Amino acid sequence: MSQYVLRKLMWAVPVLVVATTCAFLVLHLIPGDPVNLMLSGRPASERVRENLRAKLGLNRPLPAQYVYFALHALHGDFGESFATGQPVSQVIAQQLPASLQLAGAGFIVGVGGGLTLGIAAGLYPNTAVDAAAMFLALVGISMPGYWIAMLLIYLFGLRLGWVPIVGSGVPALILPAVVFGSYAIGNLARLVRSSILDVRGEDYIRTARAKGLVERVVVLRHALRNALFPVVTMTGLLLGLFIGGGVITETVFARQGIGALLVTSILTKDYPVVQALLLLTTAAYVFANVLVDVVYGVIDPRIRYG
Amino acid sequence: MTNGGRARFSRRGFIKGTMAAALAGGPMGGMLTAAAAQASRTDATLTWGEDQDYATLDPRVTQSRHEAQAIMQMFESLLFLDTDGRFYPWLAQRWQYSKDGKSITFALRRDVKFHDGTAFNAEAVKFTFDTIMDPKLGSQGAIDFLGPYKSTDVIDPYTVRVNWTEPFAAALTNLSNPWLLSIVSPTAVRKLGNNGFARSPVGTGPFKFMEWVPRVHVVMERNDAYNWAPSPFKRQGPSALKRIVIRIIPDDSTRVAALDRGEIDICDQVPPIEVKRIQGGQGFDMMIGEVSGIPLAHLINTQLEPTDDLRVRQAYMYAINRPQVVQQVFFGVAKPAYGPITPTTPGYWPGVEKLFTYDPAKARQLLDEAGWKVGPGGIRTKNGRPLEIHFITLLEPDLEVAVQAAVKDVGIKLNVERVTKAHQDEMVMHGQYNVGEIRWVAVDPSVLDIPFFSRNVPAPGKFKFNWSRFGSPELDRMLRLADGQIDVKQRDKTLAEIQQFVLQRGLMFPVHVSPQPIGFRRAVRNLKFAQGYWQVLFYGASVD
Repeated sequence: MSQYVLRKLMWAVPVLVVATTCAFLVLHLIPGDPVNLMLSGRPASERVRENLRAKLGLNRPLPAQYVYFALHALHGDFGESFATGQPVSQVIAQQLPASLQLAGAGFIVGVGGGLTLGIAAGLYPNTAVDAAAMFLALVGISMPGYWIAMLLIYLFGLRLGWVPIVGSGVPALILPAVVFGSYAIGNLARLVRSSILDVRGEDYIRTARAKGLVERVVVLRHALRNALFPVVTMTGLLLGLFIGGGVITETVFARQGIGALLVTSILTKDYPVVQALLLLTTAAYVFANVLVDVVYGVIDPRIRYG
Repeated sequence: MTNGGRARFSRRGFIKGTMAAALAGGPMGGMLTAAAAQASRTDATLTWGEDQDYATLDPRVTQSRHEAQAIMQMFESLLFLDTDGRFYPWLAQRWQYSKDGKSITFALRRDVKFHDGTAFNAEAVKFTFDTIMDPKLGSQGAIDFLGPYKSTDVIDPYTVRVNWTEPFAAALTNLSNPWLLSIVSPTAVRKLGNNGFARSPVGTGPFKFMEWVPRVHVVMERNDAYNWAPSPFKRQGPSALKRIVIRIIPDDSTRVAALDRGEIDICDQVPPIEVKRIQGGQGFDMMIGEVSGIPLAHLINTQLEPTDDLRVRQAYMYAINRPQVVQQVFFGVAKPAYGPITPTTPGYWPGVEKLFTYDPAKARQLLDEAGWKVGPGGIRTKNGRPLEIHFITLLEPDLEVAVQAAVKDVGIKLNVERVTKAHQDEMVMHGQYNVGEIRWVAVDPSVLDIPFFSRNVPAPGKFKFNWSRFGSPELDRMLRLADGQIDVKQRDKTLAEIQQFVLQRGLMFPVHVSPQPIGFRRAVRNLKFAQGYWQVLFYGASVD
């Protein structure tokens, strides 16, 4: 098992190298001069532009820039942000805690809500409970995050005044977590429902009932456990997505976070920040995948990794 | 909306209204004395909802009018240029131009200290200007504001002479800019380095830097030693406000909701559609700045068909009913603009208001003369080609769609393409557009150099702003003349000629003055627009 995990993690290295190299090339090949983008249409003179190009090392040829980037990245040094002049590690470190908070809270809301709705719908198919749960799931999947956010802000922030709109601390995390988790709620609920319905027809469920187990045990030990596989896969993907950040949630609720940071950095071609963030999110996906494999082994004793 | 509504929301009306309220509404008719100060709280925190994130707080580096909102509360410049267009003493008590117009000598205040205790003196002025010129600093705005800067001479500890290589008419205006050419603490820069200083700035202003959490807020606290406010504030000593928080809230509706909820006291860039509601709402008010500089304007490419034909450019300009289009998009919050600089900019020539006013008959006549005949679907054609104008928009797509509908009436097909900044830069450098849009906040009319000087025509690899790609020795001569004319009357005359010239040649079609609609809780009093009508100065403000 541990050997398997180790091997999986080793594979992450070439994945990361390819990902960052691709990102470097794409970023540099698409048109747009970082200096002009940074000045965002402000009337700066040619002198300002030349000074900035020299300061940011953009007047060197592309291969030289790549070698410089790669050598430093190997030592964990991603350079300084073009926009702020701060070390990239510091820029990200400032934003990451908020992202992890949001990912954690959104994950709890999403997985908790998704499982609850999915199980309820799966156990009572074609009832009012099912219809209500699936309606909520549909809303979660199809309504854009910013629209849900605006409605929640209006209702709970403005009209009822229960939670702050742009404050800090746990109360200010509630609405963002709901918005961030809503997509996961919808996705998971539908998946859990259909896999429970699939499982319910299986022979072992009939056997479990036949031997006189109470319904609760049938559901929890037999039905749910087997219905969980697709759910774990989906949860793993969502975990990667969550760590990658929620641009919309961060922007609408004026929160810190690496999602909005990534988007701004791409738009202004802040190469050092983009490189480091891509490395980070790629690593998060790899990590989430390994985690999914491990969890498979835990819930299904038949799965063994050699 | 009715005409009455429009009048009520005219920005000049607002500004006048606010000023009048500040003057007459105050208990001492504007003379804020100790008694008046006691009436408002001295422990209040003022929270400003800001629409854009910050990258630096170093005045020498910034070029962002958003960062300026924080910077100008903490820093000060040599002179204070008020919105009345007059200069007042600030860190400098007196100033004198040399006879050749190439130097200005400043007598500095002797009682000013930076927040870190460093004494403000001639050395600090020289240090600030000299370091701005250092390419390693990477100055984005201040270096251009110093113009043809040569050197600064320390004559004695409190007398300083700034020298330029040629007469520099914008010198006083630029040196009065409180967010680009404000004076920094040399001790702090030396101690923290440039990057460190940008994140922990030290100035002489009424508020001291406390904290900056990127993407969240900048916090400042009252400078209790402050005692050198310029006279237009009608106040002396420390501010009535204890703390200032600049809260970054990029999303417009969230920012307005935060104001409604009372989580912020002031909301910048209120969306035009919300202005009326906030104005009429209980406990809230609006003030709308009529921003100086270049209005939102269309620059028309003179080098690409079909806008290479002067008649087509002029027809385009006659075809658009500006008051109507601007009303449709801004609900009365923005005013139409008729000249290349806005009415609140020094040197504005009112004659522009009579040029290219809406005249569709004239537009049609010009197009007929140019050989563009009405074809199928009402779009004009010439030699089998339709009259298509390619418009690249980045700043205000909604406005340009309204313009699209307007010019269709005279038979022009306006192809509005929404572009990213990177895409726009490419098209501008390669001349692949007929019309592009610009707008800048600026206080000195020398801003006209940027879109009109022939040396600023963009080229592959060189992103510049003469997007009409028009170079003429005559225009260059007038621009250079205005840049060096120290005498305001003579300069205004040259500027009037420039404004007339660029319109008549169809280089630029001004559309509307940029509004800065600011919503605030009515408990907040005496907010004051800084020069340029974009940022708000907090020093004189108070909270009931």
